[in-house]
Amino acid sequence: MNYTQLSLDQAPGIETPLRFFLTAPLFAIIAAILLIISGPELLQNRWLPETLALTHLLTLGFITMVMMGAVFQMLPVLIGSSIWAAGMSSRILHIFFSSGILFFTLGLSLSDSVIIKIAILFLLLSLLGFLSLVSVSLFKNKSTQATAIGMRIAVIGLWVSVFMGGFLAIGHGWDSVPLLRQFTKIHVAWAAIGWVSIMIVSIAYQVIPMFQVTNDYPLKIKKYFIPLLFSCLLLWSVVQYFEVALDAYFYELNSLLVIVPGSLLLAFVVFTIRLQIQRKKRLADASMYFWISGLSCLAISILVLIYSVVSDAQLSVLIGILFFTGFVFSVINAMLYKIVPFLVWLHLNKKIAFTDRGIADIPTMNEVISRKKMLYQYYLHILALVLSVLTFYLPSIFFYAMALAWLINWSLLFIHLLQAVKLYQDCLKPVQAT
Amino acid sequence: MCNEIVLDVHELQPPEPMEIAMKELTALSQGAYIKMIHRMQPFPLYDILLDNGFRYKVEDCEQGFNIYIWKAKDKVTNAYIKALISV
Repeated sequence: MNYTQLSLDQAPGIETPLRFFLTAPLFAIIAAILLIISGPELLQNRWLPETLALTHLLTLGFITMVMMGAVFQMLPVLIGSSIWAAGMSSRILHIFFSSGILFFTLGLSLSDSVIIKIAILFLLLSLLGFLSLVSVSLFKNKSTQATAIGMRIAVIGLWVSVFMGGFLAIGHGWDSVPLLRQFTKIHVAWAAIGWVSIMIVSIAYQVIPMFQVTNDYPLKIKKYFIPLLFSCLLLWSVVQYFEVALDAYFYELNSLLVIVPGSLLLAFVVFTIRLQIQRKKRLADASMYFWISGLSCLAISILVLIYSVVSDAQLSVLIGILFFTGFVFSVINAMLYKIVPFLVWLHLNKKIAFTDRGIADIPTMNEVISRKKMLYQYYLHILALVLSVLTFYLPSIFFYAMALAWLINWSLLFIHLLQAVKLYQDCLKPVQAT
Repeated sequence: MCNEIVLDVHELQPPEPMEIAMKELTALSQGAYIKMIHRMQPFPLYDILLDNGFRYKVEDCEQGFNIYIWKAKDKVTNAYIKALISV
């Protein structure tokens, strides 16, 4: 088969993904400052306004912010599908989404219902806008490859999670609307599994073999894993909704619908780590360490979740720490350290390589953010993670050390990304001057 | 007969394949073409190629893909590659 001039001229400019990638660590830094100001009681009760602000600073401000940027960047590259007016729409979305998160944090911290209402409006507008744009792009695209199918399912996950979250938020903000807290579990599960995990798995199908030079995932895994996981999530949600009606059967069904998808995810982790161990080139970098640590934390969080369901132990905060900070933050960090240097290098090549300056002036990808810097931040990340787990058991001793470790960790991540952008600008300067 | 520069990058870890390709591309002369052997299609490279006056053709091979790259203005190489790939 011959392919001719398969053009991907639809990839967005460098500023589109970077504005999301650089904003994300800033929200994480605000989250760390909020931790320090609020103190250990923040982790005692998930319904405290500051706790809600903290979780959304991290899940929306950090995780979803990066994932939005990645979707804008990766849709054209991975599955050949572009987003309508990517430059302009990303700019508007970014402003609305960032403002929404800021207002949400401010409103909850000050218990100001007007600010909370404005925040809900901004958040819903930006999330629904993002979802509409991405859904059109993904469902118009006819690709049947596993990554495309997985991304479509992940986007459905975000739709459900945003609807549930929207209901909860409106219940919080408007007295006339009842606050249906029983939806929280479903909102969290769809965000964590339906959106974040399925999106990460879809991207992993492509980026693990691509960046780490491993063998490909077997076709059977790529074909069945995500649809199976999604079906379990759907069934689990139905069971939660009928909790009272199911009465005595609820416990068995609920346990089954946690153990089955949990085991599926465990199998995925084992398989991915096996691919990484068997890979042809064994040049491990910080990104690979982040991936392996993240996957290990996912495995541990699943085991703790299964244990908590079977034994009825209250471990949701520990599971949250392991899942979000251990798994999701690690994988996101891994991806940022691959994507940002690559984008800087790629766009410099586009602009400089064929001018009089040639490629001599362009740093290599490994020089954009040095291996050493990335490793330092990786160690800090692991330290913060260990301190987070210790804080779960001994909050009075480890809380402030944990908060400080995250603050330094995220500041360092931000500085590294900022330095990469600065390098990009500095390399372009002589060209602009002539 | 055109000068073939073979870049077998199919076992290399990113970013090496792209970096090697860029080095050769900036030095590519008339009457020469690059045959890149890669395990995947380097989509971002295609953007750079089209923006800077190159042409490329892709064919499947055992290791993944053979990507032939030459200068769009180089008519001799253009004809040569067309004959080569259609065989």
